[in-house]
Amino acid sequence: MGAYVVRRLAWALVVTVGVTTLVFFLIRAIGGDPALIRYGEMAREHPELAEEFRRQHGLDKPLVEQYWVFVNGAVRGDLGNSLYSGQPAFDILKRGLGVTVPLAIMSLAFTVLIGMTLGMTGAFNHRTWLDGVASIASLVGVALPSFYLAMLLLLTGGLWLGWFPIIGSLGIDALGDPLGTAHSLFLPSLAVAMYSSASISRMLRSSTLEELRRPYVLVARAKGLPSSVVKTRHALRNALIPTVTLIGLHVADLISGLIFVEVVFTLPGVGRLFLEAVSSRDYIVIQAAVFFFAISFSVVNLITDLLYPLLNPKVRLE
Amino acid sequence: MTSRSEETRPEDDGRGSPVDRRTFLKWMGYGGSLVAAGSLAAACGEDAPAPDTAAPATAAPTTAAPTTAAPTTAAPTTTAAMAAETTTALTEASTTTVTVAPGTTAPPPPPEPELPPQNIRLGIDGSIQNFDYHKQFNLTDAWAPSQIFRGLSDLDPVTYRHVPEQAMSWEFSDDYMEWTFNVRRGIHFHNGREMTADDVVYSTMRVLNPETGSAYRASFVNAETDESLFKTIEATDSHTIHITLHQPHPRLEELFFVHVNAIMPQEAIADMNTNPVGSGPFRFKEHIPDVVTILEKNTNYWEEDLPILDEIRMIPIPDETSRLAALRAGEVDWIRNPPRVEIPALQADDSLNVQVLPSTWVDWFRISPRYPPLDNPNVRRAIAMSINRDAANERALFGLGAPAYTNVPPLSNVPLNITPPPYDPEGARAILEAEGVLGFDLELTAHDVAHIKKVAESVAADLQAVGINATVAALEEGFWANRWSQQDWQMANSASISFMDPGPRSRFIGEGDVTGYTDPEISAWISEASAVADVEERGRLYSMAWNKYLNEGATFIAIVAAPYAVAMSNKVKGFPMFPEQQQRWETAWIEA
Repeated sequence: MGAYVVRRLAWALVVTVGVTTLVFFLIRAIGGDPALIRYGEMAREHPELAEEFRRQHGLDKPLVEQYWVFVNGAVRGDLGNSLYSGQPAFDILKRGLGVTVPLAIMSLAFTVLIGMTLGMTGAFNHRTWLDGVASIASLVGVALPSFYLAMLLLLTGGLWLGWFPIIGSLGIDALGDPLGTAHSLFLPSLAVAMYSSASISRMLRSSTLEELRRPYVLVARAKGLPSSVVKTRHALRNALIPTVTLIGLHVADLISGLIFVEVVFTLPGVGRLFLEAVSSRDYIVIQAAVFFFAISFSVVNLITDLLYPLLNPKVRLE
Repeated sequence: MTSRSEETRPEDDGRGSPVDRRTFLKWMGYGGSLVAAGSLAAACGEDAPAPDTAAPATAAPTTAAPTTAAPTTAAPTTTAAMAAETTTALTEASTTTVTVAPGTTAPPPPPEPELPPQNIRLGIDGSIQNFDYHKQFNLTDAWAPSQIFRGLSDLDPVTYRHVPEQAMSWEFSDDYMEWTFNVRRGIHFHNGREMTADDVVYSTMRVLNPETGSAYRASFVNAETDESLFKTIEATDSHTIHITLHQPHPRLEELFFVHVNAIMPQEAIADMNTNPVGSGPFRFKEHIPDVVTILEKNTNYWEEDLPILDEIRMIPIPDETSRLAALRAGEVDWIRNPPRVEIPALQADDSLNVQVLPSTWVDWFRISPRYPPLDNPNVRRAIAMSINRDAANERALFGLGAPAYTNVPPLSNVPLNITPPPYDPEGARAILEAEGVLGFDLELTAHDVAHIKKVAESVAADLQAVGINATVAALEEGFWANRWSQQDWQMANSASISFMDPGPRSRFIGEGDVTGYTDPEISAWISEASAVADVEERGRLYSMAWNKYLNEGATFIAIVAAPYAVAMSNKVKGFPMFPEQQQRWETAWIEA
């Protein structure tokens, strides 16, 4: 187990370096000179402005040299300074994480809670009205894009009912005021979670129903075990393995959902940072954000793998 | 006095709620265990302490003083009166002096002697990234610095002409080659030091220095030689600057406008981007990137009884729907650029005050003569005749803008008399047939932002109607900038926002024409106009230049002038609107 974790961490490092390197070159290859974006049409009439900008930020150097500067800084914890604000990218990232991490945790919690509640409700009440309600709720969740749902939630919960703040950014102080943070992040988390929870509930429902038809369930019932025990301790536990895999995969959806939701709810998280950095070609901030995304994926995948043996003792991590 | 925690409860905002909270929670409970306990407690619990910052209405600073007295001692005049008092008088045969009475920029006094806490929250459409005004490049970055810094001149909100601000007056010789600026005494930077003529000279030289990378340097240099306009600039005493020029400049005061040449203290320059120190009506207090920028009242401001507001909070809300929702929910008091489609409904809302003004933002197309048949002036003229500007205004701006034929703003202080080619699709088609190019392919390279893409789509529809196979390639900002700089486009559209004077704008059709189209006569008129002071004569020269250009196969086609719109709570008073979209908050206050 220990060796497995070490090996996976080593792979996570490789993935992070690989993705960051790829993005470093890709973002420069796709075009969109930051100096031209900054100076706009003025850059044609006064090319010296753009030249000075490139010189000041080392963008006039060969690509390999720029990459070496980036790697050299990154290993020392220096991700560079934003091309526009001049602030250290690490500080910008840290500030963004102060919003994105609690938002991701709450979204994941909602995803699991809603997904499992709907999935279990559907499976354990198969072909009843409760199953129908759960199925419809799942369909609605899958059909509504996060961005649109975020708008609906903002207008209902924020504007019409007035229960939640519209400007979420002002209520974020995860360590100093966790309740205030939860209040600010309630609607955004819900918006991000709905899509993932819908597909998780559908997966859990179908896999639970499949497990409930297996012979070992019949045996357990024949032995006189209470129905609730058969469902939860036997069938559900086995049905959770594909569901956990799906939850791990949905972390990717969750992160892409964060980008749009952070814009709608005015949350200064890593997703919004990333979006703004891409449109202005702030290479330094893009690299920092990608660095975070790559690490997040690797860690979540590792955690997902580590959960398998806990759910099913037959699974061994080697 | 209401306590802070009571004020912060979202349900206490007076808007009412059509559904009882507990009922809603009951439904949620029945619906499934969806609610994380912590979130629910925070969101709905009666006893849960409301978060300090959840409702920004309550994020009032400890310095808020609800009993702020209205300025009653001054005898302020209206802005119209202010304009009237701005005088241009010949003091001697050889010089002209421009001066303004001190304190005349004050607003009408608020009607009540007692005002509520004077803290305002602005919903702005982007994050402020840069406080160093000399290095500022976009409108959003100007919001805070234009309150912190000021220049020697400012724009009059009625006449849109430059009047003295931190200068008491200025004088110039008859040939506009020598200028003397007299700095107002008693102006202090926010660090406490008195502003002197040396600071003006330092700030000017900083903008001029290429290493500063200021976009405004272009205003201070000869466009052809890149040499400074100034032969000499020196502080002749603590409050007087004397300037001699290489060439006449009849409007030199415009170079000392805050947006071009903000006055900064040299000793604070190292931290100017993070801790700006200026001499404007508001001091920098705090900046949390992407969250809020807080400015506080400069109690040592030179203008008596101003500013009235104690604090300004600038909150970046990039999404326009969210920005409007925040205004309607009372989380902000003022927003810029509400969704245009909503403006008629907002204007009917009694709780809001919506102001719309033709701005200096003009949407335009460039036609590249590098790509046949666009090198044919008749084809370019046919394109100009095909475009239905009223339709573009309706489709892209919901009729709130105005058709534009030049990129000189509609409210420019120099009136132009333009007679462009008429909108005549049949005539355009006849020209294309005569030139044998009917049905040629034309790609419109458009910015995929805001309404600019819609303008391109409208124009493409017009061009298709006359027999041009026009398509729109809507590109993200970075890709557009690349293709633009490489001249890899047949017809490209974008928009510009600039100052009111037609001079810089007319460079688009003169020496600054990026397509390389030049006409010596047009360039000569523009050059001549830039050295003329008389408004009528300048207007005549610019009109001649534009009319010749537009009617002889222009490579530049203006389409629409976009509106500048703001929406605010009807308690916000005294906010002046400028077509250039500057913000001047010192005259604003919040009504009881």
